[in-house]
Order: sequence, then C-alpha cells, then structure tokens
Amino acid sequence: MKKYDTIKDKRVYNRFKVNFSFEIKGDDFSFRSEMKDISCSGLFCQTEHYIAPKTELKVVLNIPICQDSKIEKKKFTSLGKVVRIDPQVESAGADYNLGISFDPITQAEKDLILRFISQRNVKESEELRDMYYELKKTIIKLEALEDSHPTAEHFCKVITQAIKELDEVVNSLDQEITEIKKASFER
Amino acid sequence: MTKNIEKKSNSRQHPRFIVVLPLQISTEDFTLKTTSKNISCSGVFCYVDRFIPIDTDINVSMRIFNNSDGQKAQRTVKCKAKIVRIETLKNRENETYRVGIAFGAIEGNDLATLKKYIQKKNLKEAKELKRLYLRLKEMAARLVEVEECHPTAEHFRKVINTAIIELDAAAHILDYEIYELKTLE
Repeated sequence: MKKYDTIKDKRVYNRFKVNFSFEIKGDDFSFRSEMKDISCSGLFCQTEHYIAPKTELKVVLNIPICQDSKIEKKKFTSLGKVVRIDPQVESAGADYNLGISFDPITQAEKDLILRFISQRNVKESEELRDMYYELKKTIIKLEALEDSHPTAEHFCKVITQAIKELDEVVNSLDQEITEIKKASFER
Repeated sequence: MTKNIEKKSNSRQHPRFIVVLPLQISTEDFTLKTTSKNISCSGVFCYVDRFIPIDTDINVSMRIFNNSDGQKAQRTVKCKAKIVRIETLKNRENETYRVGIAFGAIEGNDLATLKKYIQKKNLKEAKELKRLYLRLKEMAARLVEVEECHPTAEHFRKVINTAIIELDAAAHILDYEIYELKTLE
C-alpha cells in the first residue's frame, strides 16, 4: 500500500483508462488515434505513426457530455508535445504507444475531462453505486446481528459512517447514470 | 479504536444473546413454564403470565440442547435465581410481564454447559461478522482496479479503507473467538 501511495504522490494527476478515438494534428500531419488513458496533464494512445519525442502537436477531442438527459459534443483542444513513443510489442512493431503531455489547461477544461471519464466509464459508476447499496444492505444484516453479537454494534457504527461519507458522491453518480441511460435511450 | 472495543468488552461481563430455550420458573407457591428471550451466563430474560415481585427467590431450570434446532436435549441446567426486573406489558393476551432474572451460583458442570451453548450460538454470528469484514477487504481491492477508470473510486477506496482500519482490531478478536469456539466444538 505504501508503494502504491508513493507512486500516486509523484503523479500530479491521476490517469484513467478510457478508450476513445480522437485527433492528433501537427505541422505536416493529422491522423486519428485510439486513446488508452487520460489525465488532466496528458494522455496515452496507440498509433500507426511514428512521431519523434518532443514534437509539438495539437490534440482535438470531441467529447460527448451528457447534460439534461441529452448528449452534447464539447470540443477540447490542447497544445502539447510527445513525451514518449515506444514500439507496441503486441502488434509486431507496426504500431506505437504514444505519450502526449498537454500544455497547462484551465480548471474548466480539467472538470470537463473528469466528467468525460466518469460518464465514459458508466459501468464503473454502476459498480461503485452497487457497492454503496451493498453497504446499505449490510447495515440491515448488522442491525439484526446486534442483538446476538456484541461486536455487531461496532461494525454497524463504522459502516454507517462509511455510508454517510459516500452519500453525496453516490447521489451524483446516481443522477449521472440516470441521465446517461435516459440520453442513450432517447438517442 | 481498539481501546473502545476493549472498554466495551470489559463493561459487559457477560454478553447477552438471543436464545430461545424452554425455561421453568418455580417457587414454593407456583411453577410456570416459559421460554427465554435472551440469555447470558449471569441471567435470563423472558415473558411470564403472572406478576413476580422483584427480589423473589426462584428456582430456574433450563433445557439446553446440543444442536441449534433444538431436537436433542443434552441436559437440564438448574440454579437458584432472583427476579431483578419486572415490567407489565400491555396489549398482550397470554404473557403479560417481562421479567429479568439474575442467576445465583450455578454448579460448575452446569455453568460450563450453559457457557458452551451460548458460545456455540455465538459462532454463527462471529463468522457472519468476519465474512462482512472480508467482503470490505474485497471491495477495497476491487476499488484499486476501478480507480484506474473512475475518478470517484479513489474517494470510495479511502472511505472503505478507513472502515477496514477501524474494524481491524474487532476482526482480529473475532478471528480468535472463532478459533476458540471451533476448538470447543
């Protein structure tokens, strides 16, 4: 756990796995690539094109954002540069793994990226929500156990506190999931 | 957190457990039959259909079964006891009083039988609590993976990890309790 935390501390922004097609533009090239992960400071993708490290480029993302049960495309563009390019071993050297760092982006753009990640990974949103409901069911079990085991009361207090701390985020998750589903259905 | 648990354990010398056992209460004047609602090694709580004043000396006999579904009687535990609490229950047709009984001295073998029975009863609940604790650990492990895909997962992981830390000491005690109870079996 310590090792994990140390790695986390070095990285200013967390990276999140997201599969998404986007556009990379340079002075003399332009192509689409498949994003594998993204953070507020850069992204990692796979491409067939070799671009030398430190090459300056522009990243263009047409981000679908669900708002008021409707999906709207929001354009995110950022200047950046290649910080890493490695041959992709799995596909016999034909493709490359490409790491791009963004020039500093605004808080609104950071919020947009985080919202995009959260909405894109709706399966994980549902999994988190399900965990929360599992904790709620656990409370019912613990209340029943309280009469027959002295330790159940302590368990009940701890889990109740955990639920309280998750209430707000689950409320947002719930709303987001409902909106995404409604928007998908209406499409 | 450990301190809290220890403090609590110490203040409750004999934990009470919900156990339904056939019970006979008798004095020189009457004998009545009922069932226990909860029991500890120091007393029993039940409903009766007649008023018995506080501090009345009584004889209690309990049939202890050797399995939880109550099919095979193991032995009858008898002891002197005293009424320590009685409350009138309204809106009940048959059992009209709620009675707290404190056991007097219980013979060594009978006390061991009673303890063993209560402990056996306790094993199932201890295992259930341990299972819930392990489930939290599974959740925390899964959240490390989900964290790679979802910004909210980090908050979830921190909350669940805090809960696990707060339950660690209790889970350790449960482990020991389960080991001991299994040994008794």
